[in-house]
Amino acid sequence: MDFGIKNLHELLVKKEVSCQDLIKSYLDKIKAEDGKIHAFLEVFDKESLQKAKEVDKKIKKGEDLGLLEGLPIALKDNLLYKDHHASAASRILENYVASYNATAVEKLLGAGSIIIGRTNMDEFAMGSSTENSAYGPTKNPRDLSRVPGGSSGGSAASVAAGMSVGALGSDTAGSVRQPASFCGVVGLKPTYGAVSRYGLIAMASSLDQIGPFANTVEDTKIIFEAIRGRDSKDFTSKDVKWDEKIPKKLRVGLPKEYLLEGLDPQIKKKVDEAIKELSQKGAEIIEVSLPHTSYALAAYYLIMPAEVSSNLARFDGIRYGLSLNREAKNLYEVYAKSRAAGFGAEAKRRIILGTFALSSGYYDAYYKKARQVQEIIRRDFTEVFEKVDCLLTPTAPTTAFKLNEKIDDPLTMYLSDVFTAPVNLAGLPAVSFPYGKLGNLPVGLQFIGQPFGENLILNLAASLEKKD
Amino acid sequence: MVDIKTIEHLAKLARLDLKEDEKKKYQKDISKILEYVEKIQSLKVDVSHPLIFNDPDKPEDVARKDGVVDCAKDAQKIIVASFPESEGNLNKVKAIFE
Repeated sequence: MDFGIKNLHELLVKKEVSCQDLIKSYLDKIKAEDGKIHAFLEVFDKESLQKAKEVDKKIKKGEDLGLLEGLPIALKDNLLYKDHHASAASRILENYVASYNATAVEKLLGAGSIIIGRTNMDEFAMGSSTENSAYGPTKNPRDLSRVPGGSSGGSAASVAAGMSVGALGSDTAGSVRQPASFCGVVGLKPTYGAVSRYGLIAMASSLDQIGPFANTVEDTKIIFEAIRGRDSKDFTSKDVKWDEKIPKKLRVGLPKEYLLEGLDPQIKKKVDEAIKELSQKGAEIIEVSLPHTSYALAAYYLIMPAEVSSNLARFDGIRYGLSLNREAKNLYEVYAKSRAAGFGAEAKRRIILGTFALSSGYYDAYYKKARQVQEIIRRDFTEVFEKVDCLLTPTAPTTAFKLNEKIDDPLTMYLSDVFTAPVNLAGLPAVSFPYGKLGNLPVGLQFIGQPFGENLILNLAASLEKKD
Repeated sequence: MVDIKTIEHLAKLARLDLKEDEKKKYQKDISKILEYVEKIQSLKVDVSHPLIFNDPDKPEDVARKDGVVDCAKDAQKIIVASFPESEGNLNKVKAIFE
């Protein structure tokens, strides 16, 4: 059975299945599987069935149905959906109810999607395994002893396990792409500015992008097209003319720094297979260099925590969220006790690190320097794109690791982002697509595109994606 | 190695109470992470301006008009309900000055 968007749409339109039966089948799947997987923090079952009822009324009346209409989409827990809880998988927002819709959510609702639930994540998007959630980890549907990746692990798992047709996540250094790779689904990080960040609980505002997950590239593209566009409420968002042209003589770059020794040879083999396929399809493969790659993660782990320390200052026990105002003796204690009680260890760690990078006496040597290094990294990409149209790399240095394997050493966990973080620093689009397995475990490869070059990289990913 | 006094100073800046064992843990973690990110010091940079994503040759004013937009009543209800302590529609907080 083809559970792709276009096929499901056809089934609804042809009345071969009712929307209520469709949604019910997804809810049944969640009931059957999610006890083991824990992708969802909350399932909106009653209202999903109610919305399905309304879609069925439309179908009965013979009204036109949009492509995404009546289909179940899951939302990462850091996306605001009005009248629903959003906690960023943190205790500090355990009872927080959103008073407005994120623009991306508003657009999906406008397209008729049914938001089936909110998914688990690393707290405040800090992590690469979903083990930093205050509500317990999510397991990889392919191997329940392993992580689904992070921070959008719940969204990736929900799609991989067939519990939703698509899902939204957010990507600041790979948090859509890496879990897509670990779970064997497609995950897109759009160009910075392609999708409005309004209503996304901010982590690093200059790096964050909301991105779609789906089982196929085609479905991922449909969801992306629904959520992109300039939004007056996010002044970093843009409208562009989306180029559908594929260059006749396609040049795919292989950045050598991403394929150095140290890369798992079995993953390198997958890259070699993909290169062979691309060459057979007529692409020219060119070895290129992004010489400052080794500085990217270091710059990221200064810039991101600095922005985090600023963005998380609002969680202070004053307007919303966990508040220890009754236990506190004075205003300072309201802040300090609420935050101490509400934030997990990784959040505290990054707030402290970011505060350090921005503090007097250290700002120039750390934060300012990191920003300058970011510009150097961006220039590496700009120069390389004069020689090639896109880049091919592994998405992650490994396949899904075991739960608790990397949780004790933050630095080891941070290194999972080595192929994905530079892309956010440069604001570029990138897609991870499944390219076979190593044993039981999915392997994802990544195409990196030029600014607003999503169509090219999606097109290429579609030509290579291995649907298992 | 970052010292404990620095961690305490940072915790104060970040308005974050830390227990003694947390201070030691974060001291260790932060020191290790700083050792890693320190590598950027070795890179010579010739960058004078901050990162700009949009075209610096075609600057565009994207600021919205400065005006008051009323809050929808249903949104207001949710917002007021999330105040830790309230009086009517007002958020009751501790005094800034004692």
